[in-house]
Amino acid sequence: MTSTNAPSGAEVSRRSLLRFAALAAAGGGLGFGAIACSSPTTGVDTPTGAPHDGGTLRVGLYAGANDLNPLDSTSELTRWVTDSVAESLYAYDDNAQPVPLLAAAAPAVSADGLLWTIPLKPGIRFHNGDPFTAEHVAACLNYANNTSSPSEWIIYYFGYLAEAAASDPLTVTLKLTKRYGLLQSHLTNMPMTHKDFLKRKDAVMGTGPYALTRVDLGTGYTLERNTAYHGRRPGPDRIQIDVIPDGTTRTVNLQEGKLHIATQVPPQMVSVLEKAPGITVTHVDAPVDILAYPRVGKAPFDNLAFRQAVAYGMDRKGVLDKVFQGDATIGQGPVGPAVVGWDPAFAPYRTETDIDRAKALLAQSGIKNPSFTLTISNRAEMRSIGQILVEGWKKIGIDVTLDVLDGGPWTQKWITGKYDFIMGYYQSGLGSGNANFLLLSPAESTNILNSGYNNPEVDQLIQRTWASADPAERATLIKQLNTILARDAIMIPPVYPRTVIAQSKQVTPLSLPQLKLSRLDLPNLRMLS
Amino acid sequence: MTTAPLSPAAPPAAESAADRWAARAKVRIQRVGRPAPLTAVGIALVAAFAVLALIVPLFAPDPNASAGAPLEHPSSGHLMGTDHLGRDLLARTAAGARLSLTVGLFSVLLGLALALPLGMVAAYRAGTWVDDVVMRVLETVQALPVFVFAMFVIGLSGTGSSHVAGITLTMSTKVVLLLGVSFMPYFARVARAHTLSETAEDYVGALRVLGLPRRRVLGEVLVNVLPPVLAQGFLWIAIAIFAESALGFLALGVPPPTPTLGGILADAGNYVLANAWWYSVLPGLVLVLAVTGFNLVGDALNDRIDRGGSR
Repeated sequence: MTSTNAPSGAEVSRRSLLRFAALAAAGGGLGFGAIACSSPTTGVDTPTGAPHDGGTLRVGLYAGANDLNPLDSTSELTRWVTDSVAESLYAYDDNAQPVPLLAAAAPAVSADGLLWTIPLKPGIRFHNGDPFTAEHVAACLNYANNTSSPSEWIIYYFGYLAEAAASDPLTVTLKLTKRYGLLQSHLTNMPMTHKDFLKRKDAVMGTGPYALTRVDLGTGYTLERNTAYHGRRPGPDRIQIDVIPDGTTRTVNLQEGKLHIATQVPPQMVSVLEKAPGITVTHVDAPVDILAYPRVGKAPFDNLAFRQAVAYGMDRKGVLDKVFQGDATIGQGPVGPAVVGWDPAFAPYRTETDIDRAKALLAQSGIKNPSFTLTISNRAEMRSIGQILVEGWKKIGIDVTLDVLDGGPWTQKWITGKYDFIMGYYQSGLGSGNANFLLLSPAESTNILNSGYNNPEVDQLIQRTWASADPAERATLIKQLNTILARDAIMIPPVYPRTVIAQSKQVTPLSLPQLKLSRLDLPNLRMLS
Repeated sequence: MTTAPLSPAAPPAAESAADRWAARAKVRIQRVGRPAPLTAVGIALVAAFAVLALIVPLFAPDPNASAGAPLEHPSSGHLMGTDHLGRDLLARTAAGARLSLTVGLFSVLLGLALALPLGMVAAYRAGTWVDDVVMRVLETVQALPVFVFAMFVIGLSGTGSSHVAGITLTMSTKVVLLLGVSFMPYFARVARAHTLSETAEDYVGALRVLGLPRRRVLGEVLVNVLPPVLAQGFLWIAIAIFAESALGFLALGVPPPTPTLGGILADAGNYVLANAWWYSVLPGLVLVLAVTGFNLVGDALNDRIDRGGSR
């Protein structure tokens, strides 16, 4: 009989392996702790020399784009890569006013406002040498206005644009079905690409200062300087955009000098970066939105008192302090501080949760055992926001289930209206500039993203807002819309986050006016010696 | 003539009961044997994890409610500190451990419940088409990595509750089903191998000669097949806990705000450079030590059964 605990050779081997694994794990844990406790080192030297052309600019993005066609997507993942490649007819100046870029002048609008004529600059060529003509512009606009195309721009043109046509090689005419004063804003935001690339999702060709020369799916993009560029010579010879999903890794890469610009800096890393030498952190109010739409067309959100209870019961302060470390503005209605129509004096919702009022409204709603599902997009900030809000609503007696979805399924739910309350993080500035178009349009009862809200007064105000060519009038109308939509709790973002970008001092600072419109304006950066 | 006892009868009776209990315990320990040091460590780790999962949640604050400032260091108020939303990390880790343990146990039990009959039937009908069909189907399931399988299932059904034929499946139930089905081929192979070995024994031949129905024979075989399969199952609890955490880490598990060990670690990863070392290290250690503990105990159980088999 063998001894009870005498191990065989095989047993010793397995146990040795386990012992090794346990020791390695413990060692790894301690090492990890040691790393976590230590201050991150920096490989960045603060330069002192003058700006100069050339070099490779390296940018860190948090994800790769599923679709590189800027006529399909207005997402920052697409636009921050392609903005240097494909240009718009107009660009924003430092006062957020449109100035001609590919267009030769401002549009000539007929007396009835239904015919727009746009002259184009002569002598501009695409990266492959083809001349930039009105035919390409018309093709882009008609593609964007085609319901069978996958273009997100359909929301911007559908119902307004009848047809775009080339009158001659350098003149585009746009026939509208109704007045559309906001159209120039769309023409400033929408890039124009080569007509042969309209259906491509893996490549883009434009007239911009850089050509997209390499796409490493899921890992990065390389842009090379366009030596035949029609405008001012861009700074860097090359722009390398790396996809680095983890926010901490992006910021470490920036500190180590492997990146010049880190986008989407996680809020918790801001204070770390601000203390790091050789790094500048820019905070700016830009059109970054937390889309927050209750499904008004079905219970329980068809009940106004219930919607208001949810709005008053929102833990805005928790979101502000714990998720954004105070770097945001308390949300009221859909209009935030970076867009036209912002009124800082308009504050129906307090910073602190108004529990008593929320409970009173809940009682007034008459809904017993209230509950709903909050559908949020799957990113770190949104997961935290969702958890804080769920806990806040629990305090007023509403049981909320959190549904966390990735981009595709989340968008599908939004489009199909299969949600109770949907929230997502969105850079609306790349499609709408500071005009608020994407944010406010779903409030119109005929909009495909409408949540079931049907208010003739709002419909009329929205129509007037988009029809107006007068920015001051638009701002006034948007203020009225914001008041109604906040009062009716149709769009109730908890906060308006600020855009935070960190950059190395080895390059000239990013343009603040462009950042305010969510643009990075990479071609105008210069390396410092 | 008899004499009355000098002392009352009760105390000696009590002593003898205690003696008898001690003697029995001693015999049991001798029979079972003193555990090897590593096994003892494993038992201690499993016991500690069980206490964390089952006892601590009874006393800890609400794991989803804010209990302090965000990212507070470990202190007497919060033994493991707080997370980025100011929630007590010990309470969240304990709730995550409870979920991991529950998912681990139930997924292994489900895998065993599915695999044991399949493996035994395949072995009993070895060489026939029944064996072929069962084993090929299980090999197909086995060929699909658990995380690919999880992504497929969760991609179709989402991370929320699903309604199937009038039954509501919560996300934790879906994780249990997912892991249980993934584990099934491994348990079935063990069950089949041990059943094959048992059916070659004389006693099975004798039972067949006696004309016992197949069901009765398999019942007798089950008695001998069950211990090694259960020991294997214990080892797989560690894998189930790790898999549940990995799914949570990849946001494919139980959605927030329900705490999972993987979800906590995923969140904590964002705060490593914010000097919140406790946020990732402490829950990470809990996971590592729990998996190590279950591995050590499962390994010891296997060894003991192997030796029992060889005797």
